[in-house]
Amino acid sequence: MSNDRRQILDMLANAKITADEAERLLAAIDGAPSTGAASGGTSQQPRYLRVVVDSEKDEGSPTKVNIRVPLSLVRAGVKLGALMPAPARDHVNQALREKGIAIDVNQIKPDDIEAMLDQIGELTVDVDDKKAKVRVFCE
Amino acid sequence: MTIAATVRIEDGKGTKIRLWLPLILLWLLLPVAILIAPFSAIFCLIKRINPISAACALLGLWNGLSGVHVEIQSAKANVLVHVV
Repeated sequence: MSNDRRQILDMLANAKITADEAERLLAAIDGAPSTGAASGGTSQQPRYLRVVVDSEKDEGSPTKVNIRVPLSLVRAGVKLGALMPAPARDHVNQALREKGIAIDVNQIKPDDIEAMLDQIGELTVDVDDKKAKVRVFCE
Repeated sequence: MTIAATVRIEDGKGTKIRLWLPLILLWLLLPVAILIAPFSAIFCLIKRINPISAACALLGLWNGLSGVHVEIQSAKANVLVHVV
């Protein structure tokens, strides 16, 4: 029995913690090493955003696009974008409106994008068309 | 850290361009960057940008470039850009 487990059981025996708290602590102890061993550290975290396009628009000469962008680059871009001065944001908003895109850049918070990037590992976009196949995913 | 970039371009006529760019040599420009740093900081302050945040963001962008891979294959041209 490990020291941590014994300590928790001792605290439970001495009524320093409740049974529920002991259960949570034991679960945390059981969970931490197993997830670490399974994932091998942080290797489970996606590192790259991949975009793969396979187009067969031209007869007999397919166009293939394979793009791999590190998520660290995306994060750095987000941080750089957050430094954009207010007048520049207004210009961007105006340009977006002219293109018919109703997005207010001022409303996009870096923390929100950071949270989105944390969860982007689950993202998979598959577009299957007669002329092209597009896949966007993280690896 | 970004070390080098490989650029390969092939057009439909058979012209091939292969470049290996040692980006790590750009660190030799560090003294120049240090020299212009005060002016950059003043410019940032005029534009109401935190110069430290800007420097960190640019450094992050530079470091994040490592691993970028862009490959386009078509009938007219093949382009490959790979940053290590």
